[in-house]
Amino acid sequence: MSVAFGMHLLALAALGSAVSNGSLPPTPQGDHATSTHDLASELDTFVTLLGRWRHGAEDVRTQLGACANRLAQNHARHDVPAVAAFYLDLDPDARIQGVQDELRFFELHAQVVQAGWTGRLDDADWPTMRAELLQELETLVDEVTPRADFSSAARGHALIAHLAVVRAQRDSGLGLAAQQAEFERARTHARVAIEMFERAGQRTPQLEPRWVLAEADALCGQRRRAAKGFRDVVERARNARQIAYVEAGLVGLIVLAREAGDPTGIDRLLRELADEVEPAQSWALTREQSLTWFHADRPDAALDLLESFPPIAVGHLAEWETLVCAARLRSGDVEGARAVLQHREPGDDEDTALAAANLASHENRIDDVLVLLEDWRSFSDVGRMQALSTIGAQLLRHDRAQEAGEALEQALEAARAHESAVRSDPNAQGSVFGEWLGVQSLVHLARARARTGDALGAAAALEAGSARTLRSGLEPTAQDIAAWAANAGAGTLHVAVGADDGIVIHVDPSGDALAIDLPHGRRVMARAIERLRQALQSGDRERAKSLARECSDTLIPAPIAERLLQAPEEARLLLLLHGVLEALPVATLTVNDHELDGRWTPHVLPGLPAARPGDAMVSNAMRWTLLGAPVNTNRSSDGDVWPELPGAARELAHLARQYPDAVVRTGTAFTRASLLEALRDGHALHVATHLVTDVRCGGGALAPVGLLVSDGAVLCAEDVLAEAAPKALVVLAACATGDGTLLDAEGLFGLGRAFLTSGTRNLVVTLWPVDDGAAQHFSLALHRALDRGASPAVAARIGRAAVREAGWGDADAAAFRAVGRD
Amino acid sequence: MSPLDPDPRHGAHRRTGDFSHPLAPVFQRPTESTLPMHPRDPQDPQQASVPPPGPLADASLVERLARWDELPPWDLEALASNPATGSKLARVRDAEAELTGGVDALESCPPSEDLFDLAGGPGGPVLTPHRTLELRAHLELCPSCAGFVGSLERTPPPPFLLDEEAPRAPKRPLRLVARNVGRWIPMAAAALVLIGVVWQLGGGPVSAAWPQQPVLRGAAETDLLFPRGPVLTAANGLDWAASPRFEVTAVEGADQYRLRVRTTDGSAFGDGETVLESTNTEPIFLATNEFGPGHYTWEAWATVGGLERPLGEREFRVVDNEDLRLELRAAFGLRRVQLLHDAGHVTDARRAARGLPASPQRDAYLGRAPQR
Repeated sequence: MSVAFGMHLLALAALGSAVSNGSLPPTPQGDHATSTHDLASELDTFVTLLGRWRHGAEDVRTQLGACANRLAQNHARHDVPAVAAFYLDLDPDARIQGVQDELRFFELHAQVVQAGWTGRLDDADWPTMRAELLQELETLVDEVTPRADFSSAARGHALIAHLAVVRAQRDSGLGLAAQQAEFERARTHARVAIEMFERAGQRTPQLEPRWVLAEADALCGQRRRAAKGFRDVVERARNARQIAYVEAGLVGLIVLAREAGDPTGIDRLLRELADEVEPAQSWALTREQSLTWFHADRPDAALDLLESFPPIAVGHLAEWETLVCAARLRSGDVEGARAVLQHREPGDDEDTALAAANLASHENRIDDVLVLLEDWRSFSDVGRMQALSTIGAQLLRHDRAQEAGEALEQALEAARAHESAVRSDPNAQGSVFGEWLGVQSLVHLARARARTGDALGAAAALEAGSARTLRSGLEPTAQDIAAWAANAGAGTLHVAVGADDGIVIHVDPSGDALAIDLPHGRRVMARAIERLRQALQSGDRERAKSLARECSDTLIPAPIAERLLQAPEEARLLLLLHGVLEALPVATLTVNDHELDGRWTPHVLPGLPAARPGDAMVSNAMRWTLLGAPVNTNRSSDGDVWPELPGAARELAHLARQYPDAVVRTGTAFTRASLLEALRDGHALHVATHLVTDVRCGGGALAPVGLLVSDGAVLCAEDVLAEAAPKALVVLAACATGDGTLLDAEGLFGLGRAFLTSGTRNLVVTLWPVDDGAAQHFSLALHRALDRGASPAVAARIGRAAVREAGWGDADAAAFRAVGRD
Repeated sequence: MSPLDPDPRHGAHRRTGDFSHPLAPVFQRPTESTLPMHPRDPQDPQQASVPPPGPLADASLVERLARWDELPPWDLEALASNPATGSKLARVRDAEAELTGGVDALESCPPSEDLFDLAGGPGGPVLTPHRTLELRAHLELCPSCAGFVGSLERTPPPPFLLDEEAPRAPKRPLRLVARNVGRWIPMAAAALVLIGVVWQLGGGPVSAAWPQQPVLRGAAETDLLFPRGPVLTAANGLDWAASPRFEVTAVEGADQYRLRVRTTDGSAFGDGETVLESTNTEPIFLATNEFGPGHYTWEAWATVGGLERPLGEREFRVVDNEDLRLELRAAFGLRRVQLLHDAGHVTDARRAARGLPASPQRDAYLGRAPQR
């Protein structure tokens, strides 16, 4: 869904609210509404006095200066004295000339604002109107620049810059060179405007050209610089109490986050925006929040919001209609969706074409879909992805699997191109494949390949699009998949679900693959998994058993079950669980009345970390670092008091005896520094402590969690990402170390993922909070098995069995999981 | 002091085994044949000055204890000074003091028999839902009645510790001879004092303690607190299912919360039908409709800055559990909380805890967020 095209409308609307009442300084109308009574009253006084001064009233000089000083001293408006000084320095003629120039500017400005609000920017006559406006603006600038009161020239430059960036973005008739020229023009005029406003002592009017610079950077793919620029606009606007530009800056950041497929960033920014404005006042907030609901598979919530808060500006209506159409369609209201599009022509714009094609696809009208989207090559990056995905899905539905595969391959190619552009920003944390292409498209591609007889290629397609950040975008081939399957005695099981449905593919050790469709979409699957987890954690054994059986029957259908049963007893089975499936407690699954955990040795990965499994590095000769059992766990940062862990202390003491040459840091020696040192060394690592949520943690997509050390300090997941050297094995005997924030097509981003991303080969983690005693029991059994030469997956299976035998139920046993290659 | 604390003076009272174990043997109904009687040897020179027997001279020990205020002074003194009966007498007197202390009737208060039935006293009839709601509403307004109902739920000290053999629970509640109740104490409530102390079904007298949380290596962040897991069907007005209460974590800046409850078929993938929707400015919802047996999913949202933020989904199921009900029939107060909690009915345990008098321990229990 193209979203960026409404930005200029928002900015123009912001411009509208930034228009002053004609008297200087350029304090926008919205300012007073957000001020205290005293500040508002003082500003009124200042504006009145300044207006009189500029109109020739000499007697207000002293009062004007005093008022400016009061605003600075009492209300932190330190910009006001500089504004006053500029105008106080002008002689009466200059002042009166300045007023006339300003009125001339605002006449031109009003025409632009009106065009934006009334949606005329897409009219056929707009280019002519724009050219005339630009001509007049440039004349104004040329005339006013040499004058003593040159502030209107600065405004002229700012508006020229604004029009240039809007043209560069919206005018599809511009060639690449012409577009670049417009961007350069925008930057030049914006910089001149900023410099002139600085000389005039005026800070608030700088918001517009600064926003233009950030927007130009964003549109040119300079995302990092754009993010910095938008954030600068937000902070300046907050200081100047210019809500319209706070909104504009935050929306710029949200659009960047959305383009990068960063739902965590989007959520954070939306909350920040919601703190400033309400949906009734801000179409941008309504739009962005509804898009977030879409991505979360909640079209009903999106529709509710859209229908409750339609936009005020006419220029936003087209975008609103497109979103309402999509929401109704996803909610099953086909007639309602059709009604919205009735008065629009698919040829009007890309969004209308895509919306009409979605409707046609929903009604299985393949010919209409192909016609509506025949110009997909001229679409934006995101538009191309969506068009090709829709075409591919429709072809697949009509049993044209070969063509579907080709269309979907091209969608994948568009996603790769977009991802490259986004990944040039090292701060980018999102998933283009997850948030833009969509896992459903990956599922469709896999299905298309499977239907053309290439189930192994189907698995490769799934893996190529999943967890790409684990291997820096490297895409495994079919041969690579076969190598992974050969490395595990029972092969590999690849499972993914999109918005509507999913696919499961088993590849046996010989490389033979079988793909079967899954009937449920992401939301239904996530709910089933959550129900199972809740039943397990609450100790409701019967309920958990029943739910696990249902999940097993769905995710491991009979034909795949039969293949699995051919594998030897206790053979390793690598489960590649994508998206919401990563949270599934596989240790509770059954296959034809066999417990998966026992008949086989399951281990899990959210995606392939490399093209090939490589050689196992875990051995009973590994050197260990053992840390944990924190003391003095009062946390002043949030007041929590975490209990000491006697089980962890016993566990580490026992392991220290088992590994005489281990580095051991427990109790007061278990500090942030000692944990960092352990991350950096090449040893295997065992940590037994609490996992806590901490507001100081949370970088990018990673969940705000960390390991609690003694004296209440925390080592965050992002510290692990930054500092951890690759390790053969890390045992994270703390709560929910395998959990995290879900990034679709990437997986759960938490502590475990931080280790995986930093190159650790194998992990033992937990899916939810575990009993201290159970964790002790598990850990000792795990290490006994490792000492006997077992692989991490086998050792974890033995550990889980030991926990069950000792009397703890699956509330604890099923929480432990082996993640990795061995 | 726990009624099971072994009295060093009375070897006969000492039990074998673990007194605090929930499956400790139950008391046998005390009989005359097991207890020493007041010595009545007319040939004993030391008893020459023993006064003549009173009106309850031939009554059983149980009856004499129950009607202690009708005993002649010398008989009362004999009971008090007798090592075998003195502590029991003291406990009966304490129990009565507990029941009568600080209870003032209001003119508009319902009959005490109704309050007894509301507390789920054994042998009483089951109230209609309408009457239950009426009484509950009255308790909200009348601290005296609320205190009285709460006192019915407290385990009074049992006066009878008989012998080493574990007495079996009687099949029907004891009915005592009515005594002169010049005060506002229903007969049934007085019977409950003795019934509760001699009739320990399935659990025996235990030292009830607030359920402790296991030590976990962290804690889950969860916004949907209660209900969760299994919940008992409504048997009386005090059960959760009869007066459902939904609790979510308070969200900073939220000016409204929304709740939706769906009944499902219990399958992993089923969606279900909405049975309740509500909004509130507080993160607690009190529903008026009773929840019958079945599976339910509830969701909540918090509105912050005009935008709804989802707080998640959680399951619970309303179940009949006859075994647990049987255990609960003679469990009062903290013991009831303990039984429910240990059986995994944490939602019901909280409901029972809220009915107990405020205390730091109770408040700590109710203030605990689930760890997983």
